[in-house]
Amino acid sequence: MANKFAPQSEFAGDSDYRLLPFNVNYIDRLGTYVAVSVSGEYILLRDAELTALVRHQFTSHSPLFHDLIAKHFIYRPNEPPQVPQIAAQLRTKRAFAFSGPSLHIIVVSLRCDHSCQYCQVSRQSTASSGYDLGMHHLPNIIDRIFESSAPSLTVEFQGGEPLLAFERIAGAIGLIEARNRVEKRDIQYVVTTTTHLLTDEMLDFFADHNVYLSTSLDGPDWIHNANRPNNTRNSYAQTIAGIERARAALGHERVNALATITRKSLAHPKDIVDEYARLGMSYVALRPLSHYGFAKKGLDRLSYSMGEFLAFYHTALDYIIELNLAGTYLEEAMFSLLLRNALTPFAHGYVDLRSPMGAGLGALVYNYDGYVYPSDESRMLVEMGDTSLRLGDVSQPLAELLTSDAMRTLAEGGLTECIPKCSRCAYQSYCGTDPVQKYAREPSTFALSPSADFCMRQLSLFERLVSELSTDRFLPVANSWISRRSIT
Amino acid sequence: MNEVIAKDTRTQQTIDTRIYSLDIIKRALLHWSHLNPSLELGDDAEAIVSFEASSDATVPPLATLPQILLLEEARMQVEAETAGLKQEIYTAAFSLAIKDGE
Repeated sequence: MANKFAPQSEFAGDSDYRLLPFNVNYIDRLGTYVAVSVSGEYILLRDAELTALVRHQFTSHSPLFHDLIAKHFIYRPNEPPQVPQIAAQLRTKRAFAFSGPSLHIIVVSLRCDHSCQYCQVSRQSTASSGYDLGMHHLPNIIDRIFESSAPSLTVEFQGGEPLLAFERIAGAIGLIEARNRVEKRDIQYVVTTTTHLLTDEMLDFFADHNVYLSTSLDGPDWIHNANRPNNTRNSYAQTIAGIERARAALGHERVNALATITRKSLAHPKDIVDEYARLGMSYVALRPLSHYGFAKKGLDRLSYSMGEFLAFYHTALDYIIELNLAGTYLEEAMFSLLLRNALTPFAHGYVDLRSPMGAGLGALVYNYDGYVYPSDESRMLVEMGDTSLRLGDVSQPLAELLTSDAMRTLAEGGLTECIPKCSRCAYQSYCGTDPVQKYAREPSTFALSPSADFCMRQLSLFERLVSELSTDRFLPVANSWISRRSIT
Repeated sequence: MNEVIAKDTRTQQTIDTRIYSLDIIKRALLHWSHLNPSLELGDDAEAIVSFEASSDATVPPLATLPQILLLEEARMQVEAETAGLKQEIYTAAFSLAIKDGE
């Protein structure tokens, strides 16, 4: 006769469990603690529950007991901890760490037809010479790209305005495709462009080679035109026309945009979100300014504190959630990324929020002059006269670039487990480290901790995420974003 | 048990921290001191730990101390029980990677 009762171990007495490794934070806005296990699963605990957990006062009859076992916070002494299973989950979350750089950014020109107020790359006028990528660098760049062991590669073309050097883009893609007949990697191309200079010839080429376009749209016309002026005095109209034209040629989903938030944007979160909703965008990426170097350039008037940005961001997010609940599908890119990090077992492709760091290990930037950098931000530092994060030049093998002095310096701050503040933080599993940003802002305390702004932003977003997930209101939106389907 | 009373000089609020061991209190104070250098352990830490929060408005209120103490207790307990296990998990995860790379 089958045993109808649970095994005797289910009725064991007090303290019948052992702890597994986890980190824990206090969330002031919820008045609760959040604990996150090594496998990346989280649980909310009230004061008395956390006390009981660590003092071994739970029994198998405690309401949370089975949740704590399932999420790898505790195990029973008579059932050894499932180290291989937890290790496999950890490995899946950090899958990006097990291959070489997957994002390869090629700066094909510094020339640009815009004069954006916040530009950090020393853009040059369209008539300038000597600021396009030397064609002789292309074979070396292609060699570096394929030296990476990453099975999936993204090759992104940036500027200036890369369409001003379209022949470089076409040349690079031609060489990559020829090489890939043997290599057989999964390759995606992205061109970061204002879209203003698109021609039929370019669009045909992009359609034939599965190229995605990423553009900047800072909001409605009066914000966009102020932030991103060009000589037509209406860059907004040209951007919208370019987006529509590219969508018609390439497909709706192959044209994305992001919004850089300036001081002028701060008072208008709904207007910016409405602009993206009106255009039928699936994503809006609300990106804070990279402030460093602004004081040197006399650009303090554009600047704002992280606190001001977060006030803007949370208002915008409130509105985005409202829109989704009303049936308009629109994700905020960073919040959606954090959501997937917390609720799915998979690694993400975003290189600025990784541990080990994405700089160099996940991404490389090949500058127009043949020098190689670990991130776009380190290239921007060069424009301010600091070359200390230069890895080398395109003629050097990838292994040499990735073991350069600059990479060794960055690696000191490249692992959240080894950074003092991060090593204790509950969100360690979901967060990442950006030592280039840290260096750019506070070089005197390099690698000791994440930059104050970075940490403030991430903590605020993680706390918002955990708070939202504890409400019934947000759950349909979370499910919708993860399944990428509208609620209605 | 330790005779431990924390006092905020701005509000005169005191918090009885006797339920925690001296080790936990020291760690909590060290952690908080790292963020707020005006906070210090008392001289006679063996018997009585006392401190006063700074009048600096940027220092968090003493009311946050109970949360910090519980966080430190949890962290110490997890570290004490799982140090070897954590290393085992990370080694297993990265060993798999090495095998894949062969």
